[in-house]
Parts: sequence; C-alpha cells; structure tokens
Amino acid sequence: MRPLIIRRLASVIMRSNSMEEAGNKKRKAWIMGFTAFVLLFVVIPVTVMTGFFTFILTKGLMQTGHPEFGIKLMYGLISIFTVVFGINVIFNELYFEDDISYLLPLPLKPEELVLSRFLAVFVGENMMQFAVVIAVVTGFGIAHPMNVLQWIISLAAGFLLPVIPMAVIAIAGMLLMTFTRFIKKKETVRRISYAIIILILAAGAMMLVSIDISEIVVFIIEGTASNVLFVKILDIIFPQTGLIADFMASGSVWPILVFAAICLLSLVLLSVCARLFYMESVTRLNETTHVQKNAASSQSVVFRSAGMSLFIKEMRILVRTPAFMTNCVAANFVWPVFVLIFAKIMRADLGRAALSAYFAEQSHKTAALAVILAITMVTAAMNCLGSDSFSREGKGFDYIKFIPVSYKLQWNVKTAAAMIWTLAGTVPFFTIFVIYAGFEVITAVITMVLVISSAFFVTELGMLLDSLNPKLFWLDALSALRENYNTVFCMGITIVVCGLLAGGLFLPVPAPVTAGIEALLLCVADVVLYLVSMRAGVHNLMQIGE
Amino acid sequence: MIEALNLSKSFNSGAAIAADNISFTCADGEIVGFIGPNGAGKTTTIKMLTGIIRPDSGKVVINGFDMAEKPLECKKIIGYISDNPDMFVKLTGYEFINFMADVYGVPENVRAERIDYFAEQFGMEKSVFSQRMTGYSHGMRQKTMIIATLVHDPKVWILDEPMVGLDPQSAFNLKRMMREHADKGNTVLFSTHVLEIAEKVCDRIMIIDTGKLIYTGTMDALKNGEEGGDLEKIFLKMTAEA
Ligand SMILES: Nc1ncnc2c1ncn2[C@@H]1O[C@H](COP(=O)(O)OP(=O)(O)OP(=O)(O)O)[C@@H](O)[C@H]1O
Ligand SMILES: [Mg+2]
Repeated sequence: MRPLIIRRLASVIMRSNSMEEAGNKKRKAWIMGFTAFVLLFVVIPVTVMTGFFTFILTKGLMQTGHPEFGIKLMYGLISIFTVVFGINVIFNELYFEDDISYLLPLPLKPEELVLSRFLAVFVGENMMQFAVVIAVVTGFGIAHPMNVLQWIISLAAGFLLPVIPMAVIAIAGMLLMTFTRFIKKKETVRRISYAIIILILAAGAMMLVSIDISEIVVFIIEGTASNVLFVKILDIIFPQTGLIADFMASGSVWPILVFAAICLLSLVLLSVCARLFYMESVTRLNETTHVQKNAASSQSVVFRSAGMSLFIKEMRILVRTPAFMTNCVAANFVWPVFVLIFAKIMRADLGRAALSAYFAEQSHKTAALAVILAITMVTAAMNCLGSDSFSREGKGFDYIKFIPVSYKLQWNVKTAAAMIWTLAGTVPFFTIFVIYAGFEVITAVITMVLVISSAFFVTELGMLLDSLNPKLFWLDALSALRENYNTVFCMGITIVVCGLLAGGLFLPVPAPVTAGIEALLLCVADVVLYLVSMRAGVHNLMQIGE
Repeated sequence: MIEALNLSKSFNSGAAIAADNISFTCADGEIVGFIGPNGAGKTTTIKMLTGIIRPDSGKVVINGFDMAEKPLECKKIIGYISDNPDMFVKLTGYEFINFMADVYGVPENVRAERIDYFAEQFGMEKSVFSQRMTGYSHGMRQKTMIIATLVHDPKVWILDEPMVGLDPQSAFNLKRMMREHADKGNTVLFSTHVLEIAEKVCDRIMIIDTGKLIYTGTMDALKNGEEGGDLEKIFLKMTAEA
C-alpha cells in the first residue's frame, strides 16, 4: 500500500466530485459570497448553540456525578447523522460515481482505491461535523476543566469519531454488494437510505410520544440516564462514544487507547475486505448495467403546442430523474407527516369540533396563518424547483437558446412546472385545514391568496437567482442540487422574508387585516418580480455560457 | 444562406479569444466544411451562428434574417446538431423527437413519414425509440439527435462534428443526404476533423486556426499547384504557419 498515492487520489477524487468551473470570475465571487453566507448564518449559529448546550448539559450533569453523559449523548447524535448521510454517500463513492470506470483500468490495488475514496468522503462530508465537534469539546471543557493534553486528544478523538461508523458502512456495503445482487442501481441505495431515515425519525417520534419529558429529567437528576432505552441503544451501537466520553471526564488513558485500537482495526478490516471483495463486486456491477426497459408509449407521434411540449418534457425529467423526483417532487408532500407527528406528540385532538373550537380564538388563528405561510415558503424554497430550474438542464442547456421558442415562454413554462408541484403539496392540505378549522370565508380566501402568492414569490426569486449564475457542470443530478448555491441563497432570502411576514402577522391589529395587507404586498411583489423576470431574467438567460 | 460578418468572441473578459473577426458566406446549394485544430474556434463560431452565444461584435444573417433582431425566425430555419449528443437522455427516442417536432411545429403525419425515412437511412429499429436514451450507445444517441434535428426539414443545416460515432453505412447515407439537401438549393455547414470527408463532400472548405479564418475557398483552388493536391499536407502546413 502506498499512502502517498492514496492521498493524491483522494484529493483528485474530491476535486472531480465538486467539478467547479475554473477561471470564471463571476462564479468565484458567487462562491465567496456563498461561503460567507453559510459561515455567518449556518455554521456559526449552529456551533455556538451546540457548544452552549453541551456546556449547560455538562454543568447540570456534574452535580449528578455523570459529567460524561452530555458528551456521550452529543456524540451519539452526531454518529446517527454520520450513519444516515454516510450510507448514501459511501455507497455512491465506492460503487456508483462516474469516475470509477476511469480509475478501474489504472494499476492500483483495490485497498488503495477503497481507502482513497474513503478518505475523500471522510474529509468531504465531515467538515461541518468537525465544527460541531469542536463546539462540543469546547462546551464540555469549559464546564469540566481538562488539561492541555486532554484537550488535544479530545479534539483528535472527536475528529476521528466518524471513522468507525463509516468503516462499518463501507465494509457492510462491500459484503452486501459481493454476496447479494439486489443492489444494482443508485436509486436502490437512495431508497434504502431514505427508508432508514424515515425509520429513525419514526422511532424517535415514537419515543418522544411515549416518554414523559419529566421522566427523563428525573433520570438525569438521579444519574440513571443510561436506563433510558434510547441511550441504551446508542451505547450499544456506538460504544466508541462512551470511550471518548469516559476519557474526557476522567482523563484515564485506557478508554482512549481502546478507541484508537478500534479505529485502526476498522481501517485494517476495511483494507482486507477491499482486497478480498471490492474488485469483484465493482466490476460485476459495471457488467450488469442494464438497458432500462420502460412502458413503450404506444403512440409514436403526437402533436402538441411548443409550450405544452416543453412543459411535458420538464415534468418527465423531474419525475424520471431520481434525485429530482425525491428532492423536488416528493419533498413537497413530506411536511404533513411531520405536522401529524407533532400533533400526536402534543396530544392534540384533530377532530373537526375540537379544531374549530381551538381556532375560533383570534391568536390561534394568527399562529395558524403564520405556520401556513412558513410551511408554504419553506417548501417552495426547499424543493429547489425555482432555484434549480436552469441548473437542472446541465450540459444540455444550449437547447434553450437554439430552439425557436421565445425565452419568455420558456421561462413561464418553467415557472408553471415549479408552481404545480409546490401548490400540489400545499393547497389541498390547507384547503382541508381552513374548512376543518372553520375559518370565515374572508380569512380562508386570504389564506389561499397568501399561499399562492408566497409560493410564486419564492419560485420566481429562485429562478431569477438561478438565471444569474446556474450550475451547469455536473455529473450526477444530485450534485445539480447539492452544489448549486442558488438554492441556498434562495432559502436564506426566503427565511428572512418569511420571518418578517410571519412576525408581521402578530402586530396588534386584527389578523385578517394584517394577513390581507401582507397578501396584497406579496401580490405586488409577485408582479414586480414577474416584470423583472420578463426583462432582466430573460436577459440573463442570453448571457449564460458566454 | 448563412452570412457571417466580422464575428468576434472572447471568453473570460477578453482573456481568451475564440473567434477573431470571422467573415464568410455559405451560399444556397452549397456544402461547406469547417476544419481546424482542436480549440481553434469551430464550435464557438457555430454557436454564434445558431444563436447559442452572442458575438461580441459582428452579425449573423440567416436567409436574410438578422440573428440579433429576428432570432426566432432564424432559429426556425436552422437545424443544429451539437457536438454533445448526451441531451435529454431521460426521455425515450420518440419523446425527444416529438419534443423537437413540437417545438418547430411539425404536423403529425409529416413527422411520422420523416421518422420512418431517417430510421431506414440510419438502420435503426423503430422499437428502439420507445426506450429511454440512457440505454442507447453513443452512435444511437447521435443518430437520434440527427433525426430530431432534421425532423422539421430545416433549410439550413449546421452540424458540429456530425459523423462522430456513426457506422460506415450511416455516415455514407448522411453524406448523401447532405448532398441531396444542398442540391435542392439549401445550405449545409458542418465541422469535422476527418479531412477525407471534407474532401469528398464539400464544395468549399474553411480552415480556422486560433480564432482566425486562414482559408476559405473551393477544394480545387486550394489544391491548385500546392503540395501535389494533398489536403492533409496543405492543412498541416497552413495550420503550422499560422
Ligand atoms: N464557455 C467558454 N468559456 C471559456 N472559454 C471557452 C468557452 N468555450 C470555448 N472556449 C475557448 O474557446 C476556444 C475555442 O473553442 P471551440 O470549442 O470553439 O474549439 P473547436 O474548434 O470546436 O475545438 P474542437 O475541435 O476540440 O471541438 C478554446 O480555446 C476554448 O478554450
Ligand atoms: Mg468543437
């Protein structure tokens, strides 16, 4: 094994995964802005909050004589994230990335291939997590003083936290690919990982429903938190979190030595498995790449207007590309599940009588309006239908320019395709809700205007952002979404606007009045945005690729 | 007829000049070959002709319509094949061809006829068109692309390396179709790296190097007296000098 090769290869893989277009000034400025934006509004708040939370938790726990429990809990949660996101990424990296077929013919040992890809994922996926780990260690260290060596080792151990779960996933993945044949496509992996996320969410929700919060407080106060089922499970799946926590609380070297040994062992096992299984499974996968069969459209020629044909093409691409199907289409229909779970946790009565009694009160109605507004706007931003509308075209973008269809019509078709899914995920549910909650007609109408106008606002905003600087160079569709900064900008602006609007509803004026004014404002903003789109937005389209 | 007048285009705010004051005319009834080394500016020029990128200066006129003023009229006349056939691979062949036919407003019966004709020319089973293009080979995608482009019977063909990936019989048929199309009084412009193809089918060739048009003229005039009439030698000499 040649460590240097592994490092070089890992850095090449990481660079090709991110596929940035070189030497484009506008794009560079965009990326700088994006980095600052993420640092300011995501990384810093999250880390500060986590650090503070760990500090409070540890301070409280020190009185029970179990200071290590806070760390154990935080690291357990972080490890859950590692697993949830790791499955998809590691499988893709080892088996489904496009560059694999270029690397396979090179004279590289299987363990070098696997370890370099592992390293690429490890560094690429865990940057944000490292920031959180630093916050956790700092929060703990302030509450429960440690010496310098303990600080250093704690930070190092925190960095290495994802090694074991990721190695286990990689090993399990290789075994699965070698001895079974049921995973042949990316989509299968993606489905499995979504199933696992849903399972974990469901399990978490069930626990929340079944456990009394006060019970947990008692457990913690009495120092018997490890009796809680959730904690027990975490302990069993992620024993390394306990080892690190013990070291940080007691300063004893044994737990950390054991941890280091397990890390090393997992990497050795990974190499051995790679040598035994990787080549066989990955080459077999490339052989079995199958021609996709699908229902033959019985009618071979159908005449449609250009606009209609563009619209149908847009829909087909959205529905047939798994990454778009899940993130842009299916994502619109997920939130009701969360609302239901939340209602269950709060033990709310969802009967019609109870609902209309509850929402008869003005302040509850206002809150409902604020939530509806927030759900609509966040859904519209999250599904990226607007903010990814041009990036989605990728390398095929040119057709927009050479077909004899006006840019305005093409823009409107994309708006329509985006609005349809966003509204399908919101309007039916909210219609049922306003009927069930017994809103007066005026309020109900204002609610629906709010929903539609805010969805349009976010969609058009996203499209304008995306027309300025679309991400057209991507290999797989998921990175068209993940690496398109416009989606994040759009989300950021949406959250700010949404916060202002939702807050405005609570002004000491009757809610229907504020809601009505806001609906009017949104409609005016929509008209303005639309006019801007039809001029500047369309002009932006002409500039793309020049 | 394609008229290019003083077309210039640079990228990265002037750092890279891809086309430098290019002027030419492709007359009706003419097949013009566009040759030049990699990165010479062929694709860039073709993209300016088809309205995909706007020239920094100069203008494009297609059958009397100015691309900057009447883009939709121009685009309706042009059939353009890009150098990358991996477009819309999530669609089936039929869906893609129908999409293009819809966009250009081709009536149903006409497109059925033309699909039949081209499928025959390219030796493609029509059942293939019911499958998604993700499962097509490179050459099948290229053929589907050509069919989708020509289904609206454009007067002006602008083809960026159209022969890449075609089997010999299909390439032969495409060359014959180009000849027939030009003989009906239409215009064909295509880029290629295969000098034999340029030599065989073109009435005129244009040689471009580092963004400059270094030769345009008929095959005969070019060969006249030079290097024993061997296009390869002439090409290598000219691009080395420039
Ligand atoms: N979008 C772009 N951004 C920056 N530079 C570009 C862009 N498109 C083309 N270029 C540059 O313009 C020059 C001409 O490229 P072009 O694609 O026109 O060459 P070509 O003659 O088609 O080459 P090939 O034979 O390889 O297809 C190259 O130097 C290329 O790097
Ligand atoms: Mg080219």
